[in-house]
Amino acid sequence: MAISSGISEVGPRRVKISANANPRRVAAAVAGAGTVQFDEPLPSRVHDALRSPLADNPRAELYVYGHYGQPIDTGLEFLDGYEFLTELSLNLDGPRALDGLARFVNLRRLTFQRATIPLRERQAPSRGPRATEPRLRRRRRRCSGRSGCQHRSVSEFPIIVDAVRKPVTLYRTCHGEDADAVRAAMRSNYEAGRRPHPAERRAIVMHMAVSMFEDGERLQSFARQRPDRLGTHVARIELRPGLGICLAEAGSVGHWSVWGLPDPLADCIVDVIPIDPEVL
Amino acid sequence: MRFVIFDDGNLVDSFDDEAEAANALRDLATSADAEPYLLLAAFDDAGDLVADCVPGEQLVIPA
Repeated sequence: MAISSGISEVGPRRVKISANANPRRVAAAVAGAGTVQFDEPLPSRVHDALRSPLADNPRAELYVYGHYGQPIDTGLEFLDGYEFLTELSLNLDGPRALDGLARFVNLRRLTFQRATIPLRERQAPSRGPRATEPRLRRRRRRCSGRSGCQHRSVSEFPIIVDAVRKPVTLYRTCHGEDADAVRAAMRSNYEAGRRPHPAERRAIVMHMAVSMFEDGERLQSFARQRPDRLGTHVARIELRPGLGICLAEAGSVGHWSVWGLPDPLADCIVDVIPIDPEVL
Repeated sequence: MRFVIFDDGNLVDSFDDEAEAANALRDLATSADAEPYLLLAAFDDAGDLVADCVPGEQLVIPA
């Protein structure tokens, strides 16, 4: 339903802004919206009109999709000035860069769709992290179809990224218990300065994630097979809010991809124990 | 069953199909930038490790 030229209500509390939106009408349309979305590059005058009412509506999600045929800059510069956002959903083809997202320090929820590599739906529910939080919330976004967006089938796994909002305990292997070893273990392959593997085989966000596991004993069993590659110790990590750490369950049941800077992640380590190679 | 490729302990990709995973591991292991940290692991639907891990270089036949 058109609110005015270039501004339409595409669902309950869901407002779509187009490039031809009248900047003077944007603020009224965005006030009280649950989701504000756009699927094409917006001129600066529309962005200028959109930022302030979005900032005044901190619970609103910004949903960016479409942009078909448009290059997406890796630094997400088109989102400059939106760093106040607490909820952001990106459904874009092309590069996905956490470089650009790193400045969005207020995010409570970040959702990626259309991952370069389809990570398929799991077949069994996880037991959830062993944590003070019984279970992390898992969300599947369904497209109403009313907005005209082109979601892929549900068999292709969206990477749902949540900010850590309650303490969560996870485990990660490391090659020793000294400070350097545990800090090194808190690095993603990106942080370690390693080049990504062929992009067609993966979602680039995974290059910037640190793998952790819900179950420390299972992780020890895993690491015993290849301690040279996985580590000789297991660190218990109590992730806590306020450090900008995000996470998503991905790959296999009980595996979590974690995004965070190495030092804050290392600060969350509460214990490091050696893996007994003799235990079967 | 999930077949998961790790690189230096970090997840690279995961597959439902073993052959597909092995092919992906081989491709990664033979790429110019390959480093000897690749590992393929199989997990059951409960998240338990099954079978032995496969290092990437085991799938690469030297020229």
